[in-house]
Amino acid sequence: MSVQQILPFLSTVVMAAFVVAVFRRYAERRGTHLLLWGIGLTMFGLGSFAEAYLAVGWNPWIFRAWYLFGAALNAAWLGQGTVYLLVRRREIAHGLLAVLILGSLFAGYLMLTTPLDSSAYTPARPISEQYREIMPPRASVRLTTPFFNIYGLITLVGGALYSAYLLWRRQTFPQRVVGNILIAAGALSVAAASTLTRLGAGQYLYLGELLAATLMFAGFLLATQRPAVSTAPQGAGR
Amino acid sequence: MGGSGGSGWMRWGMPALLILLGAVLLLLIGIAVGIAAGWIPWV
Repeated sequence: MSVQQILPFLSTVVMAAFVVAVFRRYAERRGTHLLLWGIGLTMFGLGSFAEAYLAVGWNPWIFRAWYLFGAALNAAWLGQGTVYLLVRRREIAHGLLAVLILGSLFAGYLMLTTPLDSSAYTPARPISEQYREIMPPRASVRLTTPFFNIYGLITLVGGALYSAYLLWRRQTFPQRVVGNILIAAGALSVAAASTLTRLGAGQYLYLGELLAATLMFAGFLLATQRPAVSTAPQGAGR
Repeated sequence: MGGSGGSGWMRWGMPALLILLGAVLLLLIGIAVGIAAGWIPWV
């Protein structure tokens, strides 16, 4: 197994710790944004786990889980959490969530009905470099991923940068400014790696995911650190 | 941060970093829109 093939194992461990931290916070504080972040991070973690599994052996359901949760859905669900955090009008957040759920079900249906060519699989190469040969050319589910990822980019990264800007301008809680910047940088690193994969350079995906998992987890811990002052700012610190 | 107590890093470094990350965000959104619209070929 190559060094590159080991990276998803590390990402899975980081993501497992991250998921536990977010759901623990949800259990303490509630908040739809924490629940949706937990769901999105679980999807991210499932994607990393699937990569680790597929480095060892083949399973069509694990492959389907990898593409659906790891490539298509997780960023949008994470971004939906940020929508609930930042958008004050609940009907807008609820409407967007309804569209996301319907879109996710549709993508799930397309993934389930996509025929896979198991004979094209080899454990010698990362799945991000060989998934095109396993899936049919221009598979319908692949046409849906840019839409989920555009939504995820705008909401997750845009939301984190907006929160960082607000906190910076208010001159309070510098650790939360840094936390939000780390979340944005982490999300951008996996988005850039995913874009390169889409354009045919899949060798950077695993590194981008490990960077993203580490940076976003560090950002979350910083942004949710208990502040010394009691005034509560907006942003990913809730 | 921008206030009198802020370090140079917080005063200038943070906004510079925000602008840089914002530019990367716009670039990636542009590429993703290009892929979705079929303007950028993908494999």
